[in-house]
Amino acid sequence: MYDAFETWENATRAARRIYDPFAYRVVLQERLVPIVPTEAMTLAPRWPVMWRRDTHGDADLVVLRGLAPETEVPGVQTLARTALPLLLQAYPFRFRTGSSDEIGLDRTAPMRERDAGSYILDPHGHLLPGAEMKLQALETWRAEHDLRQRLTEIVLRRDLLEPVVLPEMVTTRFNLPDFLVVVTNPDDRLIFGSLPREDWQNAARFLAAQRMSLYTMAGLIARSTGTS
Amino acid sequence: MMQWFETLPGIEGTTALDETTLDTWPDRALDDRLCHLQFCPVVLAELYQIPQFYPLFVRDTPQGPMVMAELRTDQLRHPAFDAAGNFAWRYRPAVTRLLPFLSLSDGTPVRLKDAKEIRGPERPPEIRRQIVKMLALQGASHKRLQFAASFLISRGYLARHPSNPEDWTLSTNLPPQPPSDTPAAPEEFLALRLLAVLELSGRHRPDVVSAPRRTQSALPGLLSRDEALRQRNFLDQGELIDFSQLRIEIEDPKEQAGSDKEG
Repeated sequence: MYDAFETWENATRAARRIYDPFAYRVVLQERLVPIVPTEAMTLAPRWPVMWRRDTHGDADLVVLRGLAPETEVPGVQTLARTALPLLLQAYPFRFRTGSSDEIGLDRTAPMRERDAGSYILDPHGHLLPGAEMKLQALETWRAEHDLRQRLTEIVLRRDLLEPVVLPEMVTTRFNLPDFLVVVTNPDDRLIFGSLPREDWQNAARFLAAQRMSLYTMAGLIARSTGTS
Repeated sequence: MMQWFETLPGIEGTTALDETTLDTWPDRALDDRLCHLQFCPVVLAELYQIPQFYPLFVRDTPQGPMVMAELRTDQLRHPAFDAAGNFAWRYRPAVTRLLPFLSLSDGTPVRLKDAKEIRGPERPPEIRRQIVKMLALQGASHKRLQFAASFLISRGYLARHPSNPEDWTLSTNLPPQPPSDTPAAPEEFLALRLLAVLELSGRHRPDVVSAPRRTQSALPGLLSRDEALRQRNFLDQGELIDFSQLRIEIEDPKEQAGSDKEG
């Protein structure tokens, strides 16, 4: 999803401008976006929430927003900012690859400048509102990162995932990776028994939202293949 | 307290299931009357599918609370039935497929007493056994969902609907979490999933904006942030667009009228 990482110091020293999310190619076109479990409730009415096998064979929790690569996600321009996955709300701010501690910027330029944009810091070194909103999205993602990791580990270790079977024509045409979801009726004790009670509600919301999100797949295929 | 099937014209209560009531039944005898339903129970197998079409809620029945799909037009963003009286969406709730047989919310299998019924063909024993089996599954599902709904009510996740006191809806304030060492209650995990389903399905209600629920304590922070954004001039110093050199020439209307006459 990301290009080269630019450190915070470099970006602020160079007085980089940031723009609203819909000015960036990644936000308009990226079809697979990593998410945290608590986002599933917001995203499930529109897009399927699943794990994909990444290039290393690891399971990565993502939302699938479109099928065709490098094509605008259907209907994306009609969405509110808050309907986007957190990592896209935060864009171009990002974590350094493999870290959820170091925040920097993606080295990118907007596709079109819908407004004048904004600097990151004011002359006194304080965050400007646009940057603050984006960084809040990134902070929320970081706060949920542990639950994301734990939940993924639990469902993999307990063998509670099942593949999402898509028509072969679709997977071949759009070069889609393998997708996995938690089975419909897992033994709940295996999941919740491995989580602290504080996380039960978020885990349950995620599990319900993920199953419900699968019913958006047919619409996604129809929109992407023009069969609707 | 009204049972969900009592709004169907011609229905006069239920009768216990036995060999005689399972003997014959007509096919799809109630289909053209289903549009009179105001709500109907949800079964576990469709718990994640049915919220794509209808809002769900919990309703008191004589046998306890039951998870229902909302079919009342005034409670829906889009009507559940089309002009011909068929389900408007391509989805038909599972309990309507077994009518005139059904399980009550405590799991008791019954048959509807239908004053308009025409005697149907005699049914072979294996079909009858299948019906009994499916009703047992439906009953088991009702009982599990009833446990889950009762849990949500007892913990304060659901509150009585202000104008329909037999209905339970999502509580506006989240109840406090129990201590972390509290053991799980029966069906607590299903109840927490059900809570999410109730919340997500609410987007089909006409008066609900599909946004994540906020607690009241978060409101001042959000308002102050929005206010800060509203008042903010996003053009920083040095970036102000300079209009000082702009000249606007406005023609005198009197002169314009004179030149028109000369011409």
